[in-house]
Amino acid sequence: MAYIEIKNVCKSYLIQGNTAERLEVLKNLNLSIEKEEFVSIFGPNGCGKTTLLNLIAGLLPPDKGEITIGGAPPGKIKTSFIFQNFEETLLPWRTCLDNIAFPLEVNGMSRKEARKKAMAYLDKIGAELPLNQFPYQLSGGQKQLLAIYRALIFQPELFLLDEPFNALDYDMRTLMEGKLLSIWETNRITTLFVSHEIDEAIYLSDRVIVLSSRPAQVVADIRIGLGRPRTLEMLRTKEFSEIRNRVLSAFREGYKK
Amino acid sequence: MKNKFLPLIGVVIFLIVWYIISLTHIIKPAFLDPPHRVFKALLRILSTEQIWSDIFATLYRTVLGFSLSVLIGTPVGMLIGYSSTARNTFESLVDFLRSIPATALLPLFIICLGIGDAGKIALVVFASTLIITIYTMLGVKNCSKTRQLFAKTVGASQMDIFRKIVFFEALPSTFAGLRTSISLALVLGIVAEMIMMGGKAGLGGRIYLARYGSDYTEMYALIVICGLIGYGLNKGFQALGNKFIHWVGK
Repeated sequence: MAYIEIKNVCKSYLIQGNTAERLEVLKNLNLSIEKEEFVSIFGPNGCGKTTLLNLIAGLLPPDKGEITIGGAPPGKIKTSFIFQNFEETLLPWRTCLDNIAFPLEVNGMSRKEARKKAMAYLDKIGAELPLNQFPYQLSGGQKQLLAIYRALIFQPELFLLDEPFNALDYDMRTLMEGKLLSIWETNRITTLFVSHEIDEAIYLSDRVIVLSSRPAQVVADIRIGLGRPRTLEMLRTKEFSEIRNRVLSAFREGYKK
Repeated sequence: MKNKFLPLIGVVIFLIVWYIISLTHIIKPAFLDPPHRVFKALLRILSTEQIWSDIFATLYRTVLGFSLSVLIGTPVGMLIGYSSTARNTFESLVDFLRSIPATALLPLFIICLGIGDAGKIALVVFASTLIITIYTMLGVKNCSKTRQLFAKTVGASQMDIFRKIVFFEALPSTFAGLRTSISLALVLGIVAEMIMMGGKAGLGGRIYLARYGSDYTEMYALIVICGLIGYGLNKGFQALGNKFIHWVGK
């Protein structure tokens, strides 16, 4: 059995002001993900990618079907989730260092201990952040890094990211993808990355799952054979463009209407 | 144009208008002194020992009443803001009580607590507590759900979410409540002193007595002292807010 097993999962929402009909978001979705895999979920806007992450994080229950992570139901293992609107989750009354220390504090450490541990962790991964400044003093990319460091400090077993680099310009985005890769390649946390940028999804992942329009189903499950560590040069290889074509045709196939 | 002298120019314009009005005798000269005479009276009053004891009495009633209100209003507001059950139970009641002009309860406080410090402080506490409760409640109620969800995903307990997230996120609103209520506390402290003449006169009592004795110059000087105290309290709180709630609007 795979690490994450998603079997015949359905999820629908109430449509506001309409009690008879429900909006079907996921329909009989099946997916399995191995431990230490980096998997991107790629699909049209509004197809239910975020809903899928919420189900895996245990923030929402499925209507039907079953999700297990390491044999247990969702929400039982240490999970870090970077929301699409992650800026709202930063704590502006805390310095960067204390933001990063927060997950340690709520998992039983004193503030002093948590700070010390956070410092050691940031040193180890070579983080460059103005630690004594407050989140509102940071640039967009720095805020992003802050959220990522904070998500990883308490060594989660599962890392979920929902289109985290959307607000960044191209340069910054490339830089952040590189940072995320180098962090991931050193600790290999099972990662699910929702994206609607095709190059980003391929460049980062071991597998790209292409979802159809709502109600979402898996259209294709494409293994990315590029070696690791990934380099930007790989974006220009023939192999990369072949994979890109396969992802694109799967995307078109799944794009109804 | 932003110039630090502009506020001073505003004051000067006010004084000139005041002076002109007092010259034109639109208002009977006996009722309105020109500013320089009030200023002289102010200096004279401030050199007496009596005024300091009255200022202290007013501040004591205001600050003690305010402090009690903080002790009651903040936790109650947090509770009502955080628990939807508590909110549904008490929100309308709090809104109703807040809508009662506190001064309408003066007779009640006099009957129950007398005309000394207790009655005056009770009036201050009644009004200030409700203001603090409402501001705190709104602060807690409007906290970001996403932020709490984040805390939950990294394993924070309800208690941690409350202590480390909600409390801080509500602080700007709580603090706005404190600032509003310290000004209100001073207003009601002074009103109470004008009506409940027990114990030390305080600034309110002194203003009332000055009018009673037709010493209008002294009355204006006392009013200026009240204004300065109110202004100082407000500015003091503003400075505290800027220091501790540095993240607002950023």
